[in-house]
Parts: sequence; C-alpha cells; structure tokens
Amino acid sequence: MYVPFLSLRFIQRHWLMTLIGSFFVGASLVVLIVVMAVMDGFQFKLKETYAGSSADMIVTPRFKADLSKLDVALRERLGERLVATAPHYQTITMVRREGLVDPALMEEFQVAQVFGVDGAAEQRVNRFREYLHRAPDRIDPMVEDLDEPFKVHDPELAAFGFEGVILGADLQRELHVVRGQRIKLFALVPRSRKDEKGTNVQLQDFELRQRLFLVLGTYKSGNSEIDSRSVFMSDKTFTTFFDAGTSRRSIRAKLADPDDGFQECHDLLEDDWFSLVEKSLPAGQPLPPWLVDERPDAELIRAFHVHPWWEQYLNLVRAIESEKAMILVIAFLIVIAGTSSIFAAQWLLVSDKVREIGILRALGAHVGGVASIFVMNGFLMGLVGSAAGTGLGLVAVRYIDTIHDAIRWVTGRDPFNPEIYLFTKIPTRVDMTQIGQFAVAALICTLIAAAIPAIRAGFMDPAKALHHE
Amino acid sequence: MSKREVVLEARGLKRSFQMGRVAIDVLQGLDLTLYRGERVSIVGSSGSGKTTMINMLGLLDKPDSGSVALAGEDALAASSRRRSDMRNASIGFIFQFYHLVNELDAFENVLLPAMIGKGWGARRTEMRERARHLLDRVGLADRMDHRPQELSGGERQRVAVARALINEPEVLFCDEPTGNLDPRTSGGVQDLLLDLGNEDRAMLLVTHDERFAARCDRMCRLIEGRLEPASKPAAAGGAA
Ligand SMILES: Nc1ncnc2c1ncn2[C@@H]1O[C@H](COP(=O)(O)OP(=O)(O)O)[C@@H](O)[C@H]1O
Ligand SMILES: [Mg+2]
Repeated sequence: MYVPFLSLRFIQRHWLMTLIGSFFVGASLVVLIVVMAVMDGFQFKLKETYAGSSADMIVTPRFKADLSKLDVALRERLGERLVATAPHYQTITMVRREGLVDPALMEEFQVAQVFGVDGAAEQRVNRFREYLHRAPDRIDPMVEDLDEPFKVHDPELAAFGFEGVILGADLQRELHVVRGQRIKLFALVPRSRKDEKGTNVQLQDFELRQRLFLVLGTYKSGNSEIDSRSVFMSDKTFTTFFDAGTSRRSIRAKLADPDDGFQECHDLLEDDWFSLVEKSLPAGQPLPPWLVDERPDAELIRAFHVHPWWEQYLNLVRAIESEKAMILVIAFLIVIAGTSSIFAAQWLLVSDKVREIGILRALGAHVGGVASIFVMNGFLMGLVGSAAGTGLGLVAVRYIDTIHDAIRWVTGRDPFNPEIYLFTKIPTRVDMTQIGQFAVAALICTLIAAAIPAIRAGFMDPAKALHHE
Repeated sequence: MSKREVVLEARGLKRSFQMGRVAIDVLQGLDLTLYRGERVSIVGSSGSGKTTMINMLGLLDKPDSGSVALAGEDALAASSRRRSDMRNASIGFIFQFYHLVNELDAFENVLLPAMIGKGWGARRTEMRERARHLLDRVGLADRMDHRPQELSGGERQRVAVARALINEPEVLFCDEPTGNLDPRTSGGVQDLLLDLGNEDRAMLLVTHDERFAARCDRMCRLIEGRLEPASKPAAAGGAA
C-alpha cells in the first residue's frame, strides 16, 4: 500500500524529472510512429503504382494463341472471379524525337517499353485512367479524351493516317516533346516466320521498320521506373507496326478478390489447362507439336505463364520489406535511447534519496518494497510517455502535411518534393496493432530501465544509507 | 515493577570497521539488557561507537559476533524480511537529524510506519486517528499538512517522535535527539521524550548532554567498546 503512495508522492514532488523522463520516451515513440507510418505509406504507394500499372492476374500463352479467344476461354472458366480482362502486348524498342527541334537539344535514342493496350478495356483492369488523369499540377486530364485515349482528334493528321502514343511522364520530359509533337519508333519484324521445312528464320531476314507517332498525352503512375520507359499505343496500332510473334502477348485480368483470388484462379486454370489451349488456338491452327508430345504429364506452366503483378517485382517487394526491418531496428534503438532517460532519471532520484531509502528501511520497509517504489515510478513515467507519445505520434501522422509545410517554411528546404513523387500528400499508413506493439515494447523497456536503479535502491545497506551525507 | 520483563538483550556485541589496512574495533563485547518501562541513557565521547551500537540493537546492521534478542526472539538468526518486520512493529527510531521524508507532510510522515506495517488496510481509520492524536500530543495538531521544510528543527523532531510511536514499539532508540536543537527547544523535546518513555516501553537514549542523560532511570557510559554503569550528577538526579 505504501508503495504506490510513496511512488505518487515522489512523482508529485519531482514532477520536472518525471516529465523529462517521460518526454524522451514519448518523443522517441513519436519518431518511431511517424517514421514507420511514412515508410508504410511509401511502401504501400509504391506497391500501388506497380499494381496500378499491371494487373491482379496476367496470363501469357507460350504458344501462338488468339488473344480474343483466350479471353473468352478465361471468362468461361473463371466466371465471376474475373471482374474485367484486357489484352496486353509488350515489346522493347528505341524511341527518338522528331520534327522541328531546338539544335541545342540532343537527339539521342531512348529505350522504350512499348505497350499495346485496348484504351477502354485497360481502364477496367488497372489504374490506367487514373494515371492519365492525375498530375500534381493539373486538374484536367493529360490526354484529350479519357474514354478513347488513343484517338487522333486532329482531322488533318487523322486523314494522313497518323496514329498516336501516350508517353510516360519521365520519358516525355527526357525526349523534350509535348502533346501534338512527334516521336519515331523502330521495329524489327521477321520477313517470314519459318521456311517450308520449319527451321527458324535467319538474322538477315529481319526488316527494320520506322514510323512517326503523334504524342497524345502523358501517363504518370508516380513510379519513375515505369514512367521513364513506357510508351502506350492501342493494341491495333501495336499489332500492325510490331510483330506480334516476337512480342509478349497476355491477357491481364482484374480479380473480384485481388488479395486472395489469384491462387484459386490459378488452380482452376491448372485443372483444365489443356482445353484452355484448345479453345485459344487460332482457327485452323493445329496444336503445337511439343504440346501434343508432352500432353500426358505436362503442366500448366508449359502452355501458360500465369502470375500476379507482384511476381515481377518480387525482389523489389522483398527489398522494401528488409529496408523496413532495418528502419524498424534503428527506430527501436531510438526508443531504447528514449527509455534510457527513465534509467537516468531514476538513477539520479535514487542517488538523491539515499537517506529516504535508509529511513524507509529503518521504518520496516522490505528490500522488495523499496525497489517497487522506484520500479513503479519508472513504470508511471513510461506509461505517461507511451500514452502521450502514441497520441502525439498519431496526431503528427494525421497532420504530417502541415508539419511538412512548417518545416519547409522554417528551413526553406523541401524534404518531400511532390515533383518527384506522384503523391501531392506525404503517404502514410497507420497500423494500430503495430503502434500498440510499439507502446507495449516501450513500456517493457522502461520497466527494464527502471528496474536497475530500483534494485540498487532496494539493496542499499540501511545503516549506511541512513547516515549518508 | 515486581517482575521485570526483558525487552531487549544484547550479549558480547563486537563490531569493527575496516579502514584501508587498519581495523577499528568500535564495539568490543558490549552487553546490555533493557527492561520494559525502563529509560536508559548512554553517554560517550564522539566517535566512541554510540551510533554503531544503535544500528546493531535496532537491527539495521549486524554485529561481527554476539547476540541480540528482541522480546525473546533471536534477531540475528532472523531473515532480512523478518528483521524488517521486527523493526516496523517493535522498534521506534529518533535520529539527530530527524530523518523525515521530505516528500510527505507531517501527518503522512507519522502515518508512514503504519502504512508499511501489516494489516494497514484493516486499521486504516484507526491509525489515521492515532496519528492525529499523536501529533496533537506532541503539540503539532495545527501543522499536520506542513512538509518538513516548513517546520522548525524542534517541530520536525516532534514529528519524528510521533512517527516513532505510531506502531506502539517495544523499544525506542533515540540517537542524540536534541543534538541539533538549541537549548530552549531541546528542553521541550527532552520533556516530551522522558514523558513518553515513561510509558509501557523501554527507551534507550544516546546523548552528549549529561544533564539530559541524568534524568533517565539508569545511565551508562560507552568506553572502549563496552558499557559501564555511570553515576548521575547529584544535582540533575533530583530534577528527574
Ligand atoms: N560504516 C562505517 N565504516 C567505517 N567506519 C565507521 C562506519 N561507521 C562508523 N565508523 C567508525 O566507527 C567509529 C564510531 O562511530 P559512531 O558509532 O558513529 O560514533 P558515535 O555515534 O559515538 O559518534 C568512528 O570512528 C567511525 O569513524
Ligand atoms: Mg553518532
């Protein structure tokens, strides 16, 4: 009974020391919460941009399939589990600006990843529409017509048979082109696929095509890796200019359950993959010979590559996870440093209260009783610090943009440049379970920190303590 | 006082302190028996070991050899917890420098031993009443909510006296209780202590003040680590 009483009295009479002790615990928790929330926010946003430019499920046939037939076959097999599907072509080439140019500008080639997509269908599979629409500095779309993004609206140019492309924002900046200007793309197309004997074409049989395209707009996912390489065109344009046979062709799908639906769909396709092959073969085309040979024990993977968006970014996702773990460790060291203020405060208090400790022992307090007073002091400090820190941390996360503005105003620097990121606001994500764990962990640390001076207090020699100067 | 009851008995207490290479033999076989209702005073020059003796008898420190029995119980064989409980229930201390807890007010200081003791929960109201009564008795009824810093030396020592009595101890140890007080204040505290020591308990008073010592029932002198009976000065003896 005297333990909480004396603890409270000590805290009351030495409130400044108590506050200082709690302050550091709280401040370290605020840092931890804010850092983790921003980190999580960025991670989430980054994942979102990858997912937003890809799809929940990507089915790439390994044989010459008819994509529209494959599309029908997939819908038939997976039914309600598919929300939307879109054809997707992909190849790599080089791009260069064309037309009247400032002679001071370089006219180098850029590497481009060209995507052939169905302008309308693509919007239903991922965030295509959003990435054409949003930019930090503008409200109006970055293309003329969001519903038909690849349509050439200028009748004169359309009459000339011009076709349009949409450029990734970073690539567009690199090329110094704006809407309405032109770029040139190149394509290597085999003259004939195979000779009569079925042997592969020779190198000299490739034809180099080049064509001018009209820049119709800008695509900005906010992920520079995507925005610095991507060139979008309609799937029709793609198949007339590039060789479909040497490009990757897939059906990409949005799933009803984007988190857990993939495995189910994959398993369903695996169960009956051979009929999927048969249904998606172009009319009159026989089964590929290797497929016939291996049919009895071949698996889905021989005919189709079925994967979710993140399979391509597995290393990146893992890198972010391990980076987060590193930051967690560092941030937690900050909490340990913060809780050590409680150790310092309690150690000083014990050093200051040697005589009182002697008095308590003389009056009959046990070793454990005296130690408990100081443990309780530390615990209460930790409790106040953790509670205030958690609260303030959440407030700081909530008003992070205001805080950011204040930092910019005071320092004249911009720690978060919206030019670099798509996000006009600093992305944050609050994981209440994690924050609860942080608070509990901080509390445990303060208990440990308080225990050491408390044990020292408990085991003081009462006779010496009493006559301590 | 036909049958004299022994409250505290110490036999052959020895204690030496190691100071570097030299060992100082402070207590060299000290014997003492305290009876209920008896007031014993001990005088001795500074550094003769009076405080060391009180630490041994008050179970705050252990002698190198010898025995201490409190109300018949061997205090040296007891565990640390038991010794703490014995201090709480059976011993009251009054120190030269009052030794009040600065964080508590006078009332709380007096109540502290009761709060530390067993059965506080059940005796709460009773003990609060008793603390109030004791503070009233030492003349501080109106200073109960004052903290030690707000009290004079004499007042602090009165609070300490009240605190020493709250658990109704068997023995009261006073280590130079007036050593830090001016003569006038000292007189009041002396009267108070002799008055309280007169009740149903033993009191051991250590003091420099021979006149104060002489007012006790029995007077001893601590010389060379042992207690020797001392004769009271004739004039002072009459005053007691
Ligand atoms: N903890 C200790 N360590 C070393 N020496 C001590 C200790 N306590 C007391 N002494 C020594 O023992 C002697 C007696 O001290 P003390 O009992 O305080 O004397 P008194 O109370 O009679 O003035 C002194 O010489 C003192 O230096
Ligand atoms: Mg002394």
